[in-house]
Formats: sequence, C-alpha cells, structure tokens
Amino acid sequence: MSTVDLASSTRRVRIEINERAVEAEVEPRLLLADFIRERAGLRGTHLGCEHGVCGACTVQLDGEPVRSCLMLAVQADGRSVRTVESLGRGGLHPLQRAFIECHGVQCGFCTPGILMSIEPLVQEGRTLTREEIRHALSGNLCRCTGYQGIIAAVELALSWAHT
Amino acid sequence: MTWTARLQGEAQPQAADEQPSLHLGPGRVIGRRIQRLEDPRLLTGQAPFVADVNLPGMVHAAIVRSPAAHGYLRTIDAAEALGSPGVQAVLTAKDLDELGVGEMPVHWLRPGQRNVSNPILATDKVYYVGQPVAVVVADDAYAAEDAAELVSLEIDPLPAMVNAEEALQPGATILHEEWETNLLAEHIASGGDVDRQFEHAEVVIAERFQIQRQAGMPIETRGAAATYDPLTGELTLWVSTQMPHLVKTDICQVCGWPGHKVRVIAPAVGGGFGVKEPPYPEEIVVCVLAKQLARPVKWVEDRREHFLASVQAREMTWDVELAADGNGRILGLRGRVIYDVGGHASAQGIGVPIVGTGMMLGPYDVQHMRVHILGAVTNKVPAGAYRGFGRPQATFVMERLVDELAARLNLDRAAVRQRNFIAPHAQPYRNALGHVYDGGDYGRTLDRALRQIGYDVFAARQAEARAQGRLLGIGFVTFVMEAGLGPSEQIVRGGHMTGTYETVLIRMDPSGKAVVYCGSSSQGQGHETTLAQVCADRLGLDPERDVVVVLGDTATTPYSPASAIGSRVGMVGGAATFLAADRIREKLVKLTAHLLEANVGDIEISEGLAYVQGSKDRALTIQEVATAACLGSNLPDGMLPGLEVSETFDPPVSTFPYATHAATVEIDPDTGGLTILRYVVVQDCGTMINPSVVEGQIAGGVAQGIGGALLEQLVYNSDGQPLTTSFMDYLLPTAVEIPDIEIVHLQTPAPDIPGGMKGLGEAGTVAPAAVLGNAVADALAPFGIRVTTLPLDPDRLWRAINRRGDGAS
Repeated sequence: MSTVDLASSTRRVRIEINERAVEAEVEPRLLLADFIRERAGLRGTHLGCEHGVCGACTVQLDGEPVRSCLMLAVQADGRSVRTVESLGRGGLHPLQRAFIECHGVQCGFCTPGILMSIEPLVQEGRTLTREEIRHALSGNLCRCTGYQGIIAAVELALSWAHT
Repeated sequence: MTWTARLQGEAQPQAADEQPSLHLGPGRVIGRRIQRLEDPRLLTGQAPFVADVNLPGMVHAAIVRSPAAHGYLRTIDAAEALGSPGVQAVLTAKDLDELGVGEMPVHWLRPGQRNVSNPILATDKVYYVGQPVAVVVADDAYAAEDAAELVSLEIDPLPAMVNAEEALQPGATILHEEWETNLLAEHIASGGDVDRQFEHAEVVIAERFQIQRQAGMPIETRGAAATYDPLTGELTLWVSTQMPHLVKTDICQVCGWPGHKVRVIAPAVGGGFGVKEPPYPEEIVVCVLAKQLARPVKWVEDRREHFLASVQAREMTWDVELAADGNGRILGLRGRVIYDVGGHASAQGIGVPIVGTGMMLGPYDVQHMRVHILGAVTNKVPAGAYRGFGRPQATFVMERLVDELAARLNLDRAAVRQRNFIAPHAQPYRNALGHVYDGGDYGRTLDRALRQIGYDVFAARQAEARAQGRLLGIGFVTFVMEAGLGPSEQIVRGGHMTGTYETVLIRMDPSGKAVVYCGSSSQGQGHETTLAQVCADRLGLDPERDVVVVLGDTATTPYSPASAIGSRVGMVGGAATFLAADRIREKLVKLTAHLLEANVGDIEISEGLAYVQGSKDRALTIQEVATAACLGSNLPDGMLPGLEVSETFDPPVSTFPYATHAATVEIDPDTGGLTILRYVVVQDCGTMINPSVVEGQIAGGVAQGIGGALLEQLVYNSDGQPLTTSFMDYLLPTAVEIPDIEIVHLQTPAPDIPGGMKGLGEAGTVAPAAVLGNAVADALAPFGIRVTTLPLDPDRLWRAINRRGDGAS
C-alpha cells in the first residue's frame, strides 16, 4: 500500500485565498478543496462528487474557474484563489442579488460553485443568449431548480452589467 | 423581470378565471412572490451543512462496505487497520451486539411482510455491493479512508440475483434463506369487479412496461456528525435528513436511549428528494461511536458511496391490460407489478408501488381495477423513496395505455381523455380504491395545456416535418396525485409506522415579532419563507422583517412524525401555522378591543397595526399589543398573559392536486437524440403561498422527471456489481437538456385545509416520463414502435428507429 508513504511526507504551501495568505504544512495528496475548507476554514466551497463533474466545488484560480476537487493544494502553491466568500464583501454581489430576485436558489448546495463559474462572465460584461447561458452553466449540476431560476438570474445579472 | 413573470406576464397572460379568487389574509402576504428568506446565507456560503460541523477533538468515520453482491460473511480482520496511523477504533456488528444496539426498523409494513428490521452492520451475510460491514474511525477523513481499505473481509460468494422477476421464479437463488422465497411482501390494489368488465370489453390493450432503476441524487450527499457529553449524558446529532424527529425516534429505539437526552438537528440540507427520508445505519453508528469514544465523530458520504448505499428507486416491471368499449370509454385496468426491492426492505418496504398504484386511475372515471403488487428482493441497493413515490411509474403505464387505446381506435388522444375524465360536478369523487378526491376540473387543465402548446396546429407542423424526414412528436398527460396524506389514523392503518400530522408553535415577544417553530425540515423547498408568509399574513406582519422560522431541531421544535415527505409541508405545516397564527391573532384582537375600548368585531389587524375599522387613528402597533400581552398588564377579565400558541393539524383527508403536462419533441433519426422543444405545465395545487416557490418546485420536479425519462439509469451486471457509480456513468440533466418550462396556474383552494393548500413538492416529477413517452411514441408512429421501456436514451431510440418497429423501444 502506497497510501501510507504518501501520508508520511508533507510540503509547505502558501496559497492566497480571497486576498489573504494561508500557509500550511500539507500532504501532497491533500485536495485544494479540503485545503480551502479545513485549513483556511472557508466552508462555502462544497464537495458534491469529488470527481470533477458536479461543479459544486468550483473556485477561481488566478481568475479562472477550476474544480477544487480535481486539484491538489500543492498545485495551487503560490497562486491566488477566490471562493464564494470573496463575493459581495460589503453587500451582496449583483450576481447574488440576481439569484435572490429570480429564485435561483433552492437547497443552495450547488450555488457557490455556480456563482464562481459565472462571475467572470458578469465581470467581463459579456452578452450571452439564453442558449449560451445554458452552455455556460453546463458544467454545474443543480438537482433542485430545473435551472430555470438560475438561467434567469444569470440573464438578469448580465443585463445589469450593461446598464 | 423574473423568468416566471416573463412566462406568464406578457407572452401568455393569465385569463381572468385563472387569477386567484381567494380570501387572502389581513396582511395579504399569502400569494405574494416574496424573495426567499434563506437565500442570503446560502449565496454567501455561510449556511452550515453537515460537512461544515467541526468540533474540537472531532474524529472521522469511514465505512467498510461489502465488495460482493451476495455471500456469506465469514471473517472481518481489522488488525492491520487498527495499526494504521491515526486510527482510533474499528466497529463491527459484533461490537454493536455487545453494546446492545438493535436493528434498523422498517417503517412501512404490510401484513405478512418478511422483513421488519435490518442489521446496522452486516452480520453473517451480505446482500448488496455497498452494504455497511464495518466502521473505521481515525483522526482525519483521509486516514480513516486509508485504514478502511486495510480491513480485510472474507466472503464466500453466492450467485447474485439481479432481476426481480427471476427472483420470484421457482429455483431462484434465495437471498434471505429463512424466508424460503424472495417475496418480501405483496398487496392487491383492488376495487369493483374488473374481470367482468373485461368480459364485455370491445378493446383490450395488453402491454408490458419496464421502468429502470433511478435515484434522487441530491448534490449534497448524506452525512452525520455526533457529539456526546458524558457529564449530562446528552447526545447531539447533526444529520442531512428530511426527518430529524424520526431519526431521533429510531436512535432512541435502536440504542435504547431516552428521548430527552437525544437531540437531532437537520442543518442546511442540500436536497433530499426522498433519498434522505429514511434514517440510515451510518447515522446510528456515529452516535454509538461518539458515546463510546467520548469524542465528536463525523461521517460524510462520498459520491461513490452514495451510489452504493443510499436508497435507489423506481425499478418496476408491469404487465397490465386496459379494457375499453368501442368509443374509447375505459372500463377497467388489471395486471401485476413486480417491484425490485433490493437486498432488503428499506424503511419504506413496498410502500412505493402501493402509493403509485393507489392513484393509477388518476383523473378517469373508472371504478374497476385490480393490480397485484409483488415486492421481490434482489442483490442491489435497497429501494425506497424518490420524489413521486411510485406515481411517475404508474402514470407512465396508465398514460401510455390510454395513448395506445386512442391509437387502436383511431381516436384523438385528447378526446379519449376528455371522454373519460371525472366530471367536475361528480366531485368529491370516490375512486376505485376508495380515495375521495377533493375537487378538480381535469378537462380544463388539459384544454389549457393544449391551447398553450398549440395542439390544434401541431398535426400540420408534424406532417410538414415528416415530409422533410424530421421526427416531431407531442405528448400530454393529466394526472391527480394524493398529497399531504391524512388523517394519521388512516395512514398508520395503511401500514406506515407514523402518522402525518404537524404541530406548529408560534411565539411572540414584547417586540411584536414572531418565531414559528416547526418540526419539519427543509432541503431547499423554501419552507422558512412560505411558513413565514402564512404567519405574517394572519398577524399583519412583514414576513421578511418580523418573522423567523425555526425548523429541523428536535430540541426546539414540536414532534413531527412525517416531516418533509409526501408533498406535505406547505399543506400540513402551512395549515398548522395558519391555525396557530389565527389563535394569536384572536388574542391580539381581543386585547386591542379592550385597550381601545372598542368592540372585538371592529378590530382589524394589518401592516403592523391593530386598529378600529375605518378609523386608523384609533390604533395600536402590534408591538404595543404584544407588549401588553407578554408583560401581563391591563388584560381583560379572564385573559391569561403570554403570546404563545401551539396548534396541531392532522389532515382530515388527503388532498388531490392535479395537473396537465404537455411537451413537443424532435428526435434526430441519425443519432436517436431527443430535443424537448416545449414543455408546458398547467397545475392546480390549491392556494399558492408563494407562486415563485411553487414554480421552482414544479420546474425542479419536471427536470428530475426529464432526467428519469431520458438519461438516468442505475446499471448492475449479472454479478450484481454496480456499473454506474459516478456522475460520468449516471447522467443528470444539465442546463442544456432542460428546456424553458412554461407554467400556468389554476388555483382551487383545498376545501378541507385551512389556507387551502393542496401540496405540490412531488407534482413536477409525476408526469414527464409519461409525457415524453407519449411524445416519442407520436414522433415514431410511422415506424410502428411501442414505447414501453425507460429511459428513452439515444441508444434505445436509434435502435428502435433503425430496426423499424420490432417493439424494441
């Protein structure tokens, strides 16, 4: 069994999370998601499948959405991560407000991942059709809403970004 | 503008007769599209799910599961695991036995049922891949999972039985040898004299339908975290469940612990859909370990485990016949359904096919049926609840038969349905099995849905498309479901362990704000918002500023035996809130009349004020009246101080919400891929507390139904090995597959329920498989294909098209 060997060596990593440096001694196998949740104490990043399909654990790495369950903490060493907790400091982010307005949330477990997937599109002020929004959301599974409220929320947030 | 407003506001304005004609409460809060009170904490990542519970000294559990589908469990060797770094303990069935821990009860029993409880950890035999066998506890989850792999199981394999029908054949491998059969239980759903109807029927449609194994698949897996205080003997469990009070009841029963020392909390729960309805072995195990180790213990299921050990659903094989006269008038339905139970009974026994079959005749005026329900064990994950609870299957079967009947007689499908619908004036209608419907105009929902989707022009469009080699189809289905479930006495007589009442406690303090305590829990349905609306409506309060709803904590909320199942919280919890708030309101009115020296009959309450009708200058704020009541000063003779009311509502009847769904589809003949062009829902769920919440429930349910119709299938090989254990194998619909869902509301208040709610949560899932089955059959009509098997995935459709009518579909 090689698992014991994996656990025996650790490495020091320093990851900037939501503009705060988090340093820790970690096993090389530690998932970035677990680093964020357990070491940085940021529990808004959720694990839904741990095999990179559901998208609930999506965070931004140097501005790009990534699955934090498919990445190791050591791979993010020296890089910058944003999680859902970074949104709307000092008031809700427009994307969050749009989700409230359009009933885009039900259980809310998948929601942080969706926000982190979509937020760059809002930031860039992109113009997307409903079909393009559907494709933009296709990497995130939601089992509650049938996506109707989510699509509407993204549409609304994008329209706000243009006004 | 919200999506719902766009769908209904401009493009398809509601007819005047579809506007709610309700007496809304004094605050006019019921019926308003307010924003959800839950959302800010969920959107900011602050809502605590069970995986987020972290306590000092917490250790982590990993479950050792059976790798074999069927076999004798000979030995469990945990020596190497116990020596693994960070490991604190390994627990097996033997340890549980020594600790006096019993078996998990089955909550739904039929007479003669062979399985009334199940071991928490496997004892001498394993019945499915994934069955819990041992538990490893270590300092962190990684170490626990490492060590779990080091536990060595010796299992003498037995042949696996993976087909429920074969399991009932003579000579089949028997799973539970002491039963001498694989039949868990059976039930005959019967009314009228069906055989006689078949004797003089002019048409008989006989068909075999197979519905595949699916699962609710919430995005949050299950999980449990427990802590035990040795000084007080108090145990607290956080658990991702729909039924916190029932989990507590099971813990107390199984472990022999006193109820007042056990507290169960359902924190934020990431979807339930029935999967989180039954209490599970892992939940008991973490409690036992927390007590034994005197340390907090947490277990969070991973997705692979979820595919191996959380209840699955839907798998049934139906052999049925429909009798009719030459005009398409349905005379009777008879047949047999075999339900694949899995390795042993889940908490729900064979309740799922019983509930599904109970409303199988749906909106049709047919008084004769007999369906023999057989539940057979197989070497698969135990089957139980999934949103819809047997209704999607029964509706698929019935509605496919009706379409086949229309085709046989060359009659219009809508006309055949209209001919058979129960007339509105025949309500309340007693169906063949004795359910008494509480009203409904089924023809109206069908008309409205067909108008919405353009049925009258579709045939021409379809013909034009066919001429170009394109395959278009339309399907529609009207259904009635039993919701809410009641009264408790009757539900318990029907074999369910618990009743279905709900108790709500409302407390107002001198600030004039209200807290609503309800023992149910929410997995995303928005109960905090809707119950707050009901309370605010009755008390003239602002639901967002003045009301807080507390759910899912057994220490603070009244006992709730059924919690968030059966589409019942809005209806039963809503009605209990309605009644409790009305009693507080009554007291506020009396006290206001006394304080203002006015007549009780002249006092109105709205928008935070209690005032004399017609003269708002003679007014007190709710806060002032509440202060007087709570402080106990200046009360009228005979009034006790305090503003706290508890009301129990036991539904005198079930409710019968109904709907028509209609869809148009296009099938690509080259790939078998299906695109849903439009999907329309016309729903009557009684009073809508919050139409946006209603629409969210409908849309989510429809999406799950679409997934089950087109994509999702849990597959086992002949050895009982599950082949679908990830989201790459078991396909959930994404935003791309789900079309815009157009929703039209009818609103007929339930006559017997305070507030008039009929229940809704499951409704969306009931029809999609039937609707899409009918649409596919219509699209493929030129090929003479019968649609009898789900899912309607590209592979099946392509084969059906290319084999041209051998019934493969």
